[in-house]
Amino acid sequence: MTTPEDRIRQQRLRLLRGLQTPRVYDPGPLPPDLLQKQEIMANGVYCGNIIQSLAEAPHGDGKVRYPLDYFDEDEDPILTPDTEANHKQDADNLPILAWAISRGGWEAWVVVDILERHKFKLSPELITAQDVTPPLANCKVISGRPSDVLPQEILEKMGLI
Amino acid sequence: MKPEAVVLQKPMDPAQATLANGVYCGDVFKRLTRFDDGWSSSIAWTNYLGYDTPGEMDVGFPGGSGRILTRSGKSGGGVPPKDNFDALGRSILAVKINDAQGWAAVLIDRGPDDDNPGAQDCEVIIGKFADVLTPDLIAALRFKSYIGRTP
Repeated sequence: MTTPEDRIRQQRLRLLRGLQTPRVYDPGPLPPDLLQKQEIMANGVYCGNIIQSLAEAPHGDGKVRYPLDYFDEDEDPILTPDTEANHKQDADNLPILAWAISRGGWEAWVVVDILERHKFKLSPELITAQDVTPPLANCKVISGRPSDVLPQEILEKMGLI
Repeated sequence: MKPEAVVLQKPMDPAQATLANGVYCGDVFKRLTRFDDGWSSSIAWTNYLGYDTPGEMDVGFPGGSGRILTRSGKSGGGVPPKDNFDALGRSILAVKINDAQGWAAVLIDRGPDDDNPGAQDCEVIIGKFADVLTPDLIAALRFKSYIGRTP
């Protein structure tokens, strides 16, 4: 049987333990949706880091370009062209997130959003909660001659044709 | 200006806006931390640092107030540690070190992107180790020799 003195002693012990535990620590689960967002963001960081590395390498022209440098924000995303080079890299008709070109304009590197490609590949009947993880937004960097990997609109605006 | 506002035209969905935010932050992260200026060449991703740190590692952004959630370090594989944000929803995803100067560049998940419902925003912050890194993270970076290489 617990006496009032016992209860007070237990309460004091709990308080003491509380004081001894650093208050900043409060382990708990990260919500799954936030975890997924962080993973998507990290994917983007990885691609952004690569494209800047290519731009500032000796053969790059030092600048990463973004769609908003050349197009309005209310336009639909500019897509990679339907070329053989892009087909080979499984990167045709994908939204362009950033790009860089070499000095002299003989090569281009493009960050593309591959989420749409995943959506296309995973038909609805294949996606079940049991066997398929929902596709995460991800990006990849493709390369090739500017005329092969960049659309006409970008080439024109950059004076590459 | 929001990262995504620099990068994208019309985001197709929150995931694309989050991805675009990441691309821009990755570009800035690289631009601000050039190897020639003394920065580490590789990025230390905090989820991997957690593998080598026994116990719990706090990677909440130290400038925040309120409670900070922690994550457990796993040695030799297993589930990556994942509980890592402070009361404002911010946490450190990646770090680069300028050991000679005592500076760290942190790429933080700064919480929801106000301009794009459902998307997440990021930010790059540079400061002295103690200003931008938690003690746990400093210890983990020291353990992995990102910090302490310069005599």
